[in-house]
Order: sequence, then C-alpha cells, then structure tokens
Amino acid sequence: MTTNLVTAAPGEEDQDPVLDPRFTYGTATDHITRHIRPPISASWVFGFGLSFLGFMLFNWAVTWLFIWGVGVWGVNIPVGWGFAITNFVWWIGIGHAGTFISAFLLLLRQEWRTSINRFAEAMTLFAVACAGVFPLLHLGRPWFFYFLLPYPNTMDLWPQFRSPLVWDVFAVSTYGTVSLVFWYVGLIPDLATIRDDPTRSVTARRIYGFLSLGWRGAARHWHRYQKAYLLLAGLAAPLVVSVHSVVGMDFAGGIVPGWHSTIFPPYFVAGAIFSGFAMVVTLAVPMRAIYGLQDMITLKHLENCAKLMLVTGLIVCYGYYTETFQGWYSGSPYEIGMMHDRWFGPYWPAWWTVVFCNCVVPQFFWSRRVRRSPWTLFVASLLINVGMWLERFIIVCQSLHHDYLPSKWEMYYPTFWDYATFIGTIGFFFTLFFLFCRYLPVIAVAETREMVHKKGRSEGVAAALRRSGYE
Amino acid sequence: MAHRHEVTLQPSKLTLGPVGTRTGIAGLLVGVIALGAAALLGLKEGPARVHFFHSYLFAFSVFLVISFGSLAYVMIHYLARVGWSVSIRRLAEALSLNMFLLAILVLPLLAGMHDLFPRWFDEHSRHVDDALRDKSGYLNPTFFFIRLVAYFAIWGGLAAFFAGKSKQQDRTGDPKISTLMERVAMPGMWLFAFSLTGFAFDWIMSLNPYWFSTMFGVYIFAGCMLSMFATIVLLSLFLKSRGLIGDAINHEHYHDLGKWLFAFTFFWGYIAFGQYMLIWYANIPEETQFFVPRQFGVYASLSLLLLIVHLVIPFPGLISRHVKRRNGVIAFWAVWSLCACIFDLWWMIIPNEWINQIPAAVGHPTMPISDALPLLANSPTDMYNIGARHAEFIPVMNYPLQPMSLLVTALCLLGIGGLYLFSTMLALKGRSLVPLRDPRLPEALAFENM
Repeated sequence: MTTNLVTAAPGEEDQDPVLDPRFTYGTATDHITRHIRPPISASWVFGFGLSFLGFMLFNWAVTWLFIWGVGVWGVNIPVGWGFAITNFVWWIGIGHAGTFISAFLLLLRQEWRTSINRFAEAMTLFAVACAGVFPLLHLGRPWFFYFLLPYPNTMDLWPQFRSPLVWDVFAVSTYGTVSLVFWYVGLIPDLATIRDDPTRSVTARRIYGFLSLGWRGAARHWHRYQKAYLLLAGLAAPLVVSVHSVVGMDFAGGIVPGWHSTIFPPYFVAGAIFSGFAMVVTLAVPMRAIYGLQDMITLKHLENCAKLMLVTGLIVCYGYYTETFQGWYSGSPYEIGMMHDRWFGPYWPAWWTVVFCNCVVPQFFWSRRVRRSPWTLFVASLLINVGMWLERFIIVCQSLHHDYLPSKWEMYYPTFWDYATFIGTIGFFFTLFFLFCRYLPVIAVAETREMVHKKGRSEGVAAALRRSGYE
Repeated sequence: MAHRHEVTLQPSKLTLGPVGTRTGIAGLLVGVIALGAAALLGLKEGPARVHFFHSYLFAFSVFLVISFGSLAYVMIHYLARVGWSVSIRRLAEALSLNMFLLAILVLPLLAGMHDLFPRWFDEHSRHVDDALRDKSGYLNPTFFFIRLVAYFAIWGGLAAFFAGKSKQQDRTGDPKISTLMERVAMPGMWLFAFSLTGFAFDWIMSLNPYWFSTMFGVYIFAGCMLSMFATIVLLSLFLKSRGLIGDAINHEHYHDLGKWLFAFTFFWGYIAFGQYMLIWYANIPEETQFFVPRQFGVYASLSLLLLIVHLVIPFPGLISRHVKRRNGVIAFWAVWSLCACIFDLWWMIIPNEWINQIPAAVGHPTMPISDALPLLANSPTDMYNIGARHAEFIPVMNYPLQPMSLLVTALCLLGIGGLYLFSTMLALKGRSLVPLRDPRLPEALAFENM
C-alpha cells in the first residue's frame, strides 16, 4: 500500500533550472561559442588594454626588483614575509574554488557545476601562476630557485624534507600541473567543436585543430575521455585539501604567536574556498551580463556560490573564534600579547575590517533575496576578496611585527614596489582572463550539451514517478 | 533513471511494536546491572575511584558524541535541504533525543569532579599555580556548571524541537513545518558548533588543564560524525533484520552512508595528522605534554594502534563500491568505525587519570604537568622511557590496563550503552520509523547511486 505523500517541495528554488530548458544542442553550442568569433569588440580591447597595463606594471616592478634586490620592498626584520607571502597565500587560495568546482563537485555529482567549471578552472590556473611568482621573487636570489627541488648534486645538498616550506614547492607545482592537465583535457572536445565551425578562418581552424589532438567524437574517444576525466577529478580532489593545508602548515609549523595554531590546515582550506568562490562571483556576475549568459550561468549558480561562501565563511569565523579563545586559554603571555595587539594594536583597522568582511558580510547570504541579486552579491564578493587578503596580511605581518622580543618590534611599511607587484599580478591575472574569454569557450560546450540531453531524460523520470502513484 | 525498483511503504513495518519493547527492556536491564556492578567495583577509595569516574566519563562521552552527530545531521539535513536520506532521518532524530537521558547520566559525574579535574576544580590547587590562576576565569566550578546547564538546554531544546516538529509533520503533512525547521537550523547550527566545542574543551581537554589545541573541537566533531553514521547503519540494519522499515532504507542509502563513513574516516585522519604534526614539529612543551605521556611504555603501542585502527585499515577498506552496497560488509565496517571512535575517546580520556599524578610522582605536586614530564623521563634526550628512579610509577601508569580496571571500563560502557539503547527504543516507540509525510520522502525512496 502506498501512503499519502506530498510531492510539492517546500522551497520554490527546487524548481530553479540550472540551464534554460529551451536550449537544444545547436543553440547551446552557438550561444557559448559566438563570443569567440571575430570581430573583436571595443569593450574587450579596453578591458584587455587596462589589464595589460597592469601586467606591464608587474614587469616593471619585477625588473626593478631584479636590479636592486628585495631591499626595494618593505620587508625587513622582524617582518621578513611582507606583501609577497600575503599575495602568494591570497592567490593560491583563490585558485581553490576552481578545483573545488571542477573536481569535488564532479565527484559529488553536482550538475550545476557544468556552467561555471570552465572559467573557474581557468581562474585557478591564472591564480596559481600569479601565486607561484611570489615565493620565487621572494627568494632573494631567484635565479637559484631550482635549489628548492631535490635533484642529485655534487654538493650532496638536499632540501629540508621535514619542512612544510619544501612541501609547498611540491604541493603547488603538483597542483599547477594537475589543474592544467584537467583543464586541457576538459577543453579537447570543445576545441574540436570550434575547429569544426565552418565560419572560422582556415588559420583559426588549423590552430584549434592542432590543439584538439585529433578528436573526432567517436564513441571510443568519449569512453576514454570520460574515464580520464573522472580519474583526473579523483586526483585533483585531494589537492584541494592538501595544497592549502600545506600553506597553513607553513605558518603553523613556526612557533610565532599568531602562526602556531593546530587548526590552521582545515581553517586555511575553508578560507581558500571562501575567497575562491568570492572570486568566482566577482568574475561571473560581470561576465554573464556582458556576454548575455544569464540563461546558462543562472541565479541558481550564483545562489549556490553564495551558499558555499556562507558555509566556508562560517568555518573561517569558527577559526577566528577558537584562535582567539585558545590564545587566551593557553595562558601564554606571548599569545595573549599577540591577540591584544591584533585587536587593539596599530593594525586594528585591518583586523576589524577582516572581521567585518569575513564574518559579518556572509551573514547576509542567509537571505534568499541577497543570494539572488547578482550585483549585491558582486559587491559582497569584492568585500570578501578584500577581507581575505587582509586576513593573510594580518597573519603574515601583524604576527611577525610583534613577536617574542619587544626590543625587536617594528612596523611593516610596504613600498611603492610592493604595491606595484601586487597590482601588477592583478593585471597579469586579468590579461590572461581576457585572452581566455576571447579565444576559448568560457562554458564547457560538451558538458552543456550533455545537460541538455539529461534534462529531457530527468523529465521522463519525473513523469514516471508521478505515474507510479506518488501524487 | 527509467528502469528503477518500486519502493512501497507498508505501515505495519513502520512502527516499532514488540521488538522495541523487548530490546528496550533488555537494554534497561543490562544497563542498570552493568552500571551497578561498575559502581560496586569502582567506588572505593584511591585509584579505583579515580578510574571509575574516568571510565564513566569515557563511556558517557562515547554515547554523547553519537547524539551530537545525530543532532548535527538532523540540522544539516534541513539546512542543505537534503533529499536522499529523509528515510534515515527519523533514526537520527531518535538518537538525538537521547540528550535527555544523557542529561540525567551526567549527574553521577558531578560526584567525581575532584577525581576528574584534580588540578583546577579545587580552589587551593588552582591558586598555587600561575598558569591555572590565569585561566580560572574559565576553569572554575561555578562557570563550569553554568556552561553545563546551558549546553544541555541547547542540545535538549534543539533535539526536542526537531524531533517534535518532524513528528507533527507525520500527522499534518504540512510542508511549512520543513521551512520552519530550516529557519531554526540556521541559529541552531551556530549554537551547536559553540556548545560542542565548549563540551570538548570543558570535559575532555581540561582533564589536563595545561594543554590546549585549537584543533580540538574539530577533532571531536570528526569523531561525532563518524560514530553517528556507524550507529545509524547498525541501528537501521538491526531494525531491518527484525523485519521493519522494509525498502525505505535500501542498499542505495547504505552506499551513501558508506561514503560518509569513508569521508569521515579520512577527515579524522586529516585532522589527527594536522594536530599531531604541528605539535610535534613546533615541539613546545605546553603542547607536546598531550602526546608525550601517550608514548610512554605500552601506551606508545596503543597510540600507533589507534592510527592503524582508525585510519590505515578502514581507509582502503571502505573505498570500494561493493563494500558499501552489501549489508553484511557495511555492517562490519560500521562496527569497526564505531570501535575506532570508542578507542579514540578511551585514548583521549583514560590516560589522564595517571597523567595528572605525574607531578606528585616526581615529588612536586603543584608543578605543571609539562614541567614534570622531563623529570619523570629517563633523560631529556630519552623522553619516552620512565627513569629508573621513578620505576614505581609504571604500575600507576598501567593501572587502567589491569583486568579489573578494564572490566570497570567495559561495564561502564555496557551500562550506559544499555540505557542508551533503551532510550533510543523509547524515542522510536511513539513514532513512525520513517518520516511519512516529509515532502522530500519521495526523493529518498527514488534515490539511486548508479
């Protein structure tokens, strides 16, 4: 006997589509790929130009650094890890959302990821590129960067394998490699789609054809492709956790008050995903408006991003809470002194901005209205980006400026070159992002077509369920 | 998918009936007898008494964390609007209702506060020690009891609210009840996170009041979720073996519950590694004092065994899909995981009964434990072997491992376990085993993994 069951779900949003149901294979493909056909729009040229200027600023700053050495930055003892490491952690954190979306959500069968995974992965790659630059520049003698790698050498010198700083080299380089391979493998069928577009020029088709590695869309190709993609997702998923855990350990392994806290690994991972989703929203909101992708990157996507920011933001707040409480509970005068300095010392504006941006702002995401209004989300995401950058600044600089020896306490003042390098990487990031938007499909075409296919099938299941008497 | 199995709900299978009465009474009898026996054996003066209260706290914590996990699960259920596991939720609700039993079972511990927290509970010893005086704003009996009452008010209140509303929905079928519960789950989760952390700090971390770790709340949370999922697998399989529930919980659900077991096995490993590695790496005495005594003598082997039992064996064991989709095999891993969680709590709680005696053993009763540890050791370079001049401490250290002591610990576990089973059956008795008119139930019944 079947009992009385209610089928209407309580939240209206359950009926929200992740893809406009009117799309067919053809229209979906066309809708995504039309932006990469000529001509180049004036707004793109303007945006690219501005970003490229930023990139040039970066080159200038780096050249200056190579000529004069790290002395051009504001770092000194006691704050030996100024902007460079702050920026490193910030950028690598941003990258995490991309891998989270492409690998974690794939393994968890979250179909809504389809429309945002491509550009989020691109974001990951570019963010990792920006991040990777900083520790190298910070080396002092960057041309010896290969000393970090364990290679057989005549001096019989090896890196300190017990140091999280060395793990970082392996973690970040593995992360960069796997992200690149994962992104590229996902791109192959789409590159073939562009290759097969007869409206493109012969040169363009040659280039896309070369990059698509001879993809013909045969059943065997798809079979292998799906297997490879799933395996890569399985490989990438642990990286989401490991990379930022190691970054957290870079700090927590040290005995500096404000750094040495056992909760750092999971708290850093949560913070990374938090800031990463903020960057996804920062990029997605203008992109969907400019390219008219509202029916592919729907409110459902933005809402889900907001929910993930809320969850991870709450975990970050929990981290602040335990750190503060245990700072006091430890009874250690150094911990208590550091916490007091954090709250009321010279860096207090930065700390309270962190609390506002990372703890207060996400609370607005409890409201469905906020989660579904793109430009409010956009502003919130900018605030979270700022908050997460300042959080790393507080961890790196405030903790160092106030450590065990009071006679050593010193403020950290960034120089012009610190700012120029940081702003420069933002320019570098957007230069790459604009190129990506121009030459590659920002949404995965093949996966979207799969969604169009599944849509029809899931409607069939719903109808079958209704017939079987659940109503 | 189009070719799916037909799931029908049979009302006769959805009420507990005489199975519950029989199991409940058996649990009650075992519980009362075992606890009585444990009290008879344990409540003597000296180390037996200290051991009894530590064993009782350990057994109490084992079942409290299961109810913690259940309460969290119910709230996450509403927060995330989960569909697949609606048919499991009633069991979690029943387990969370055991908070009321636990609120009663915590009372005997109040008689043993001086045995459990000898360093900070007593005003005199709190004030001769700088480190403890500094924390006495938090670690003092008055505030401790206020917090305890607040915790149980929060847990009991939340558990009663969610279970009650869910039962009400069985009658009315009103989807608005789900919406209301989603709203309450938001602040509920906040309160829960802080109170769970508070419990972990108050009752487990402060057994050694000098030690601290920011990870500790998360560590306990990992255990909560793992032991809860294991318990739910076992409870539902038990009910199914008695011909109840039917297909409402089927191998698709066990497949996902198995994934959760796997996920939290790994999560525990990650958290435990993070905590251990950072403390080992920084090598600060205030922090290493947690791990150093757990590497003395036979405890070193037990610590390694914990790593193997809790992570190394179940991690590969739970990867395969086939493991999760066979009732017998998933039951085996659920028992395994539950044992691992129990062992973990034993490892955290029980050694404190002799760790707190180390300062007295080295002749400085008021010395902080971290300062006393090197004096007990052979030499500063040989931290893990007790020096010859303190050989008389070895039997003290091994006291919890004596057959009689292990018996008391086992009786406490059995006793509280029996009462917990009784209370679970009582909670399930008055309600349908599946939330019949939850709007998302069809989603759970139609759920398929492949």
